[in-house]
Amino acid sequence: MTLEMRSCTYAYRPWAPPVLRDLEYTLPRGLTVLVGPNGAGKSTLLRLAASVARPQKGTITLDGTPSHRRAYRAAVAWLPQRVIPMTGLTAREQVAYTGWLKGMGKRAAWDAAARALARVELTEEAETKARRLSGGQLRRVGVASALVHEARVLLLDEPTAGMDPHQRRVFHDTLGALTDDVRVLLSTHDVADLAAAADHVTVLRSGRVTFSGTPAGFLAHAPADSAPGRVAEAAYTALSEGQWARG
Amino acid sequence: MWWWVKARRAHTLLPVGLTLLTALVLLLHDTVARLPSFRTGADNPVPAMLLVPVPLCAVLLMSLESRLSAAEDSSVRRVRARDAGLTLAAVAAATTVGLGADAVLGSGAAAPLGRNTAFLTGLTLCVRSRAGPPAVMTPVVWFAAVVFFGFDRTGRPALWTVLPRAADDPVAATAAALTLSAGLAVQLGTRPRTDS
Amino acid sequence: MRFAALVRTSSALWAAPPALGLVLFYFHVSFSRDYEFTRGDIPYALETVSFVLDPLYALAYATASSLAAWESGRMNRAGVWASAPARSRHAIAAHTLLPVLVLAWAMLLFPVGLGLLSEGTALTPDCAPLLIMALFVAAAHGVIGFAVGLVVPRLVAPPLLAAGVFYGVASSASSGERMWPRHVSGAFSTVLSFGERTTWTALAPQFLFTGSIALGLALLGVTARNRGVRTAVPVLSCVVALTGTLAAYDIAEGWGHTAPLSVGHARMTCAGSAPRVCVPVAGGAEPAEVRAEAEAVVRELAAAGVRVTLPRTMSDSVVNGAHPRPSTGDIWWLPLTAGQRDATTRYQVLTRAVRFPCASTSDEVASRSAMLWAAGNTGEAKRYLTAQREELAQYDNGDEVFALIKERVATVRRASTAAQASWYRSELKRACGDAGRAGDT
Repeated sequence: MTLEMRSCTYAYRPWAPPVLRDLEYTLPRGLTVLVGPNGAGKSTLLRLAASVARPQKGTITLDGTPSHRRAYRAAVAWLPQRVIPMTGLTAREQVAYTGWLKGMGKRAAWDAAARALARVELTEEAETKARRLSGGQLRRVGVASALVHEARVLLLDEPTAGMDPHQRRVFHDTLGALTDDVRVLLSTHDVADLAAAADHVTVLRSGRVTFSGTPAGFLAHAPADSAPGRVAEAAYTALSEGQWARG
Repeated sequence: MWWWVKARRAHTLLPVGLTLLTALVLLLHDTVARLPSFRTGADNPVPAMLLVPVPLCAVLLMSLESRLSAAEDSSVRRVRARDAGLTLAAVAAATTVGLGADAVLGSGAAAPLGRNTAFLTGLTLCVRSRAGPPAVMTPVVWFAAVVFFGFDRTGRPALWTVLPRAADDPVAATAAALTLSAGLAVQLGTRPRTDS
Repeated sequence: MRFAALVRTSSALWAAPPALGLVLFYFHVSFSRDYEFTRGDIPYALETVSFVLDPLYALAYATASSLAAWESGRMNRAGVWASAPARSRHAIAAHTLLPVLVLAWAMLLFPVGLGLLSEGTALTPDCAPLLIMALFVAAAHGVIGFAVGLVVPRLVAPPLLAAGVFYGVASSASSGERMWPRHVSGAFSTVLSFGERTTWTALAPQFLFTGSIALGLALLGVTARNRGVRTAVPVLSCVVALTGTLAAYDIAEGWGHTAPLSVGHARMTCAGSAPRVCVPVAGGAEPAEVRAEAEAVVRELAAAGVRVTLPRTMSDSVVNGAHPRPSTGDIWWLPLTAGQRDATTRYQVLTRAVRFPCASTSDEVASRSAMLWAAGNTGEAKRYLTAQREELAQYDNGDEVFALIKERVATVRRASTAAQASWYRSELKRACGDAGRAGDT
């Protein structure tokens, strides 16, 4: 299964400069961590891959299926940067609604919502109105929404923002428990996530991929005199501010 | 489906909107005021009933804007078709209220309520595709245009006004049908703009 | 926040082009076309101001109210109140409302400025109460809209307020038998004529009604530091709002179509004594010339045997605006400025000089005959006959009456001066329906 982005160009307004320009990207197998400076286009890339927005130029396909097709959408899940709590819906209802939107039957979505909330340790808040949840809890609802319909591609935009250390660990364990044929693209500013079983690293800068490779290849870009424990940061700095490179 | 209804808050907002609509029809069906016209320099009699669709249009837009945009924009379900169905249901309900009030009150002023609601709703949906939530002001702006520019010196409304035209006016009915159709087409064909 | 940023982020920015475009359109089309039919003989700033503002109140207030509600909803959505601001809520609200207020005020002041410019009239202090009232009520609507927007959803409050305020204010002037709505809605729908002025008392209900509601709502924003204040604030808020609205209603309830006005406000220039003739400076008439014409009419009537006593004062009736004051033995109110401009001063004096011994005449032939005779002695016969031809054309027997009065006067002219004067005096009595037609020829 391959998610490919070919020559994708996207601008938020017709008169604005493109955020992504002629982007060529293939999502690797396993867990890929997407990093880059603010404004690099990470969220935009995820939105395009999630079929929430369409590029003005280029194509996005999943095993050859274009992104506007139902089959593509059914196979892809997206956790946006901001999770909106729906007025009138409980946590479980909001997750189930997402599952239903992704094509699940009503009963199946309801049961899957309970399981997804259990995976993010939010079972106790399942009947709480979404608007009453804390920021971190809402984030976990978003993660549960991404997991509910067992998508083959997970696109997660800063999934651990607002989570406490325990929840981050639970989250990473959840990712680790995913089957091998699920591809995950995770955007983060937390380079510690790199250490958590990432299979690949992609660095985005000014709408272009500056690095795509293994964590080891990523870390190799750190200057030699980098402090131990700060190697990932140093590599990130070098790649997001320095030369173009491939790992 | 029920989650979609709850997400739209249709089960609470639409009944409130329709209750408000009905109350306004009963209160204002025979209220006429002379309002200034910029076109003629004189005052023209303008029925308050022309404004009655405004709350329902506002409530409908509020309902449509209550979305889980992340999930719905990448949905495999036909959410926009359901939204169009909700719009049609609101217009149909307004039409029922108008015809019912006309039968009960016999004033004739309530009869075109459905047509006017259809027209204003279609217009709002068309504007919404470009402007987003501020499109909620569309019905009021149209009303102001009708008041200021829509009447001639004899107090007759121009063809384009739609709202104050007679209940059996075929041109107004056609305009309303076309505008609603355009609005629904836009609603089905475009993703709604959001503030975020 | 810098003012430029405040404006850039405000809904007033995108509402400004259609709102100001509409008032400009009104000015260039309606004002230019219609004001000439309303404009009085003498340029008067308050007349222009009241005319321009009349159709704009509802639009400006609806704009202030709805945009304020939109901004309030925006503040809610952005979580401003939940961010524990250090500034007071009132300061934040005022800051947010500033561009909305500027727009609403521009919708009122811009066309007023253009109107005065086009009439070549400067703004006078007389105009202050009306303008201040309009600006105040617009601000009050802004406060009310903001408060409503805090609790009513942001997609519902603006259109409902826009529709409700516009229709409510615009329709207040045509509220049928109930007059009080027009005196409290903030729309002063009377065009003021030369010499007329609004009074603060007359405008008090306009200030009180909307102002007290706005103040009451604003009080609800006071931060309660203790339980006592928390209880007192809503009570005080209700008391303020209710007291103000009821007071406004109480004041305005007994008024008729027009709020009480003050008349006679003009700088006058006078000449002579007995009669002392006074005309407004702004009209450009010469009081000495008017006096001379009046004395000439009296002399000519005296030569014909009719003694007329001029009053102590003759004053220009234009300063009473649309509220004519009755003439008395001491003071005659005549359109002196218009009379001098149209060369009808002598005719106007003549109409006062011919005094019937009753409030209204019943014999149309006798009264017209007497007038025609007097007009003939003062050189105004042609003018009188032209006016009568137009007036009598409305009646079925108008031609007959017209011919009759001419014949009667022509007949009496063959008599001596004394006989004519005696005939004239008996015609005056006969016109009032008194018995005795002595001297009828």
